[in-house]
Amino acid sequence: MSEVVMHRVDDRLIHGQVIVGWVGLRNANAIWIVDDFVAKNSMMLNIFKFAAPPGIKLIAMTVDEASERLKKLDDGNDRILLIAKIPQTLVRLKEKGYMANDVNFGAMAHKPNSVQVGSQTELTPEEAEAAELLYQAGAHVWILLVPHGGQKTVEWEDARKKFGYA
Amino acid sequence: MIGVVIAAHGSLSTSLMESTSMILGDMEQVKTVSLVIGDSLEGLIDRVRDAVNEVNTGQGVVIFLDLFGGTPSNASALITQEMDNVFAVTGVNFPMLAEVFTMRPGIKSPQDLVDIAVSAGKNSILDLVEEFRKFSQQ
Repeated sequence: MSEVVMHRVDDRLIHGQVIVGWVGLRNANAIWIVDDFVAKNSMMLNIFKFAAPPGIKLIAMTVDEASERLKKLDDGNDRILLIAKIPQTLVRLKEKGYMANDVNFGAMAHKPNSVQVGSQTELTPEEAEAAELLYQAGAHVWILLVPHGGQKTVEWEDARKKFGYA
Repeated sequence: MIGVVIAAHGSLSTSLMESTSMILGDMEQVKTVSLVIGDSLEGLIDRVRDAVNEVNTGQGVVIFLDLFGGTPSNASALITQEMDNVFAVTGVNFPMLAEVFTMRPGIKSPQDLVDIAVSAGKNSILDLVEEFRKFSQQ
C-alpha cells in the first residue's frame, strides 16, 4: 500500500539539495507533482525529472488526476512526496475528498501583496487563506525549507497572526 | 566570441566575476544572474534567457551554473533546449572560469568551450598536502 509521506508546497518544485533532504528524511521513493500546468508542459516536466535525485520516480498530474490516484493508494507500494506549487491545490484536493493532514511550506516567491512567513517563504492573502483553511480542518501546517539546516520551523499557528487570523 | 552567463544562488556569480577580474581584468560578453530570496522559477527563466540574448553575438553561449538540479540549473536546462547553440556546465569554480576566459577568444564552437571548462574544473580539485608530499619526494 502506497503512502504519501509528505505534502509540500513549494513554488520552485524541485530544486537542488532541498528535495534530496526531504526525500532522504522521509525515505520517499516517488515524487508526485500536482499541478495542472506542469502536468501538461512536457518540456518543463522533463527538466524536473532530469533534476530529481537518481532512483526516484517522478510523475506530474493535474489536480483531477491526483484526486483519482489518491483514492487508489492501496494498489501501490510507494512512499510518495507530493508537491504542489500553491496551497490552493491542496484545498482543491480536499474538496475532491482527499485531506492532507500535514502540510509543509518550502520556498514561496515574493509577489505583490505577499507577506513573509519564513526566510524564503512569502504568502499572498489568497495563499494564506488556503493555509488557514487546511489548518482549521485539522492539518499541521508548518514552514521549513530544508530538514537539516540552521533554520527553525515556523508553525502556521504563529505565522497566521500576520494575516489577521486570531 | 562565445558569450558567457554565470547563474547561481546568492552572490556567487558576481563574486566569481569579481575574483576572476582581479587576475584577468574586465571581461566582455559576460552576464551574471543571481537567484536571490524571493525569486520565482518563472522570473529566473526570463532573466537567464535575457542574459543569454544579451551576450550572444552569433557564436553561441555557455551558461555556468553552481548546483545541478538547483533552480538556476533547471531554468538553464530549459533554455538550452529552447534555444539554438546554448550550452551549460554545472559545478562552476574559479579555475574553470579562468581557463574559459583565457581560451575563449580562440574557440569557435560552444561545445569545445564546454569540454575545456569541464576538464579545467575537474582538474582543479587537488589534495594539496598530498600533492606537495609527492612533489617533495621527487
